[in-house]
Amino acid sequence: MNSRAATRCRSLEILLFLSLSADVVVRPFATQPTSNAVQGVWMAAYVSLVVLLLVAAASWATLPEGGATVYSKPMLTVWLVVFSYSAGAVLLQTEEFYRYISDIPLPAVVTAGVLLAVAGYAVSCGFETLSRTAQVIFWLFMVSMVLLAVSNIGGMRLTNLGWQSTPWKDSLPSAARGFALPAEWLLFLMMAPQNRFGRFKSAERVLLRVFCVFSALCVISELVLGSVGATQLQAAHTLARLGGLSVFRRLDALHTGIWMLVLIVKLSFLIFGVKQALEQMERPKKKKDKTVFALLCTLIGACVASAVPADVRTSVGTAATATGIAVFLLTKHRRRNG
Amino acid sequence: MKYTRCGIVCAVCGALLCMLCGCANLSLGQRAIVKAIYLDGMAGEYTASLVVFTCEPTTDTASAKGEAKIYSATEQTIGEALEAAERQQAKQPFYAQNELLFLGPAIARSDIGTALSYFTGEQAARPNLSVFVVPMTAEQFSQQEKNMSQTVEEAERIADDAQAGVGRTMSELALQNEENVFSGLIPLLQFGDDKPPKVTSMVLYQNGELQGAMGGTQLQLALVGGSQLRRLQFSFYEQGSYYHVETQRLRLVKLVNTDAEVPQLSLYLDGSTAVLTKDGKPLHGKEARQAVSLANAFLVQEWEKMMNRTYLKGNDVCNFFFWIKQEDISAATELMQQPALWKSTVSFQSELRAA
Repeated sequence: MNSRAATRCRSLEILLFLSLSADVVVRPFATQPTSNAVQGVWMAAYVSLVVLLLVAAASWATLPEGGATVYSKPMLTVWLVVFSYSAGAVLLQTEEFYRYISDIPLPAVVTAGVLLAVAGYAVSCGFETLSRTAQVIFWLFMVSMVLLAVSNIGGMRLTNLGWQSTPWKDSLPSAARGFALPAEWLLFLMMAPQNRFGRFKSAERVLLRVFCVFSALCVISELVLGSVGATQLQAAHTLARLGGLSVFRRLDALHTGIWMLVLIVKLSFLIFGVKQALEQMERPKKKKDKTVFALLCTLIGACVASAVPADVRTSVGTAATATGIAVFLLTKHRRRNG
Repeated sequence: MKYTRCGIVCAVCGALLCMLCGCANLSLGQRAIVKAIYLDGMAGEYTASLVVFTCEPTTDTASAKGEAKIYSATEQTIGEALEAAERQQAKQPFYAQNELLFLGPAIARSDIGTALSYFTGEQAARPNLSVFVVPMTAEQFSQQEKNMSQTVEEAERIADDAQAGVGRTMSELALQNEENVFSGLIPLLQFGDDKPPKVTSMVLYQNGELQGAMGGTQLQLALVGGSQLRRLQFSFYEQGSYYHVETQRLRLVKLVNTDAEVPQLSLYLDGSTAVLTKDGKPLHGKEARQAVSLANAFLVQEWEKMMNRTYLKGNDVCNFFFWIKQEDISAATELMQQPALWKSTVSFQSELRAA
């Protein structure tokens, strides 16, 4: 891998990590809470393993060694739908989170408009600019996570930790119910280096980091909040409100600002996926900037996502992404046989 | 041309971001900064009081000080009472700096679970809201405006003082309030015209019922048992002399034995004395060793009294079962169902040494 490809791979990893971590710190509303930290960690381990196997299988089955991936129009159409829906769902989630943390909320249309404007500008600047900004936000996010842990040390009680009284196998059905396959993995398949082993290593690194963030948050949440932590709508936000360092008692304002940036990166990344799908559908000579169309598709996706009941929104996203991967595999299979 | 375009983009982004900051809604001068909430009463008749500090508009609401005003109202539910109290003044209440909840004697006696569960809701209050029981009625409380600034300041200090170990936040109490039935300890804050605000004891609850106040050495031992205090400071009379002891490097060693029919938790209080006096005079050598053995015997007596009021009545305020569960989850779970067997499960020895 040359240095440019390595840089692109690293940028993609950071974007993917931030996008997946956004769902860890800002839990999609209306998702089922886990019962305790031990079960949560087990579930995350199962889900990460399945996702890794799925991504590895897709890479192995579809990527010709040394060759570049070519996308068919039906496949890109499906991907366009998946990215639009997912970006729309993230837009709704970000707006909901902003409303949740606000004392006096703004009208949803205004918040969504501002978010779309910021994400649209980020996408129009291109992948390199987006990834460079994401690197800065990545470090801010890491500082936020460390600060969250340090500021809550005073409130941690070892006796708050729950014990796993049921066998680890009992976590399997819960893991299956809570399984989520974000659309970012499709973008990863689309943009990751054209090398099977490289892809596997990248996916492995990202999943391991997200798993660590999730597990740490689960354990800190239980150490501070005990069994009540699992029933919180936004456990990380509650921890942010609880924590304090010396005279700095309102650290939640700092955390939520950073998490909003992470959510904007996630939104921008998915809108970038929409833009990529739109641009790939055109003939190479006629390629034009499709940012405005991508924003329109996101807006349509948001309308569709808002029509879907909140408790099944993530499941619909998972089904859509799975369909996208299936179409990818099917197209490749046909091409090989044909 | 390029600079004009950049300027327009910056102006649009700035305008859009200004819409998100919320400054267009209310100025700080139009907000009433609530620093504490008082609640009293019983089902069907709750009285809520808001302690509001009137101040000049400032960007730092955390430092909101000045003259305290108390606005009270009585309604059927807690929510309605709070809303009615808000309406007693013209400004928009601002709860983000509210870190204190005072519970009056009536609600503390009969309805503590309901009061706590109301404020446990995610957006009803900040999770670090500190809770105190205050022994004064709503009427008496509303007459404390001139003492309120000092009381709020002291209560916030006590709540933040990790070494004192008596502060209780809503997130901690929520854990002990299962299905609106509370078991645990809440600090008792005493203040008034002639006495400065102080916490000398905590109110003990078991299954929502008030069991009385716990203070002195018994309270300190309960806090040490629950890993919330790392220092003891106590005094006692023995053989006509007055002894005063302060400890250092205190730790409670916990050993669990699951070989017996019922799991056993053995606790050893280990540490040394930092201050040891007899009738005000410091002790050394043999005298100090004799005094420490008296102190150890005194601590064992006080421990037994504390256990008789809590654990042996089925109220595990020190979370002993956590340590038993660490060794054998099923045996501990089985034991938890049979409080009659608890008597022989926890033993205590004090092994303080003279420094």
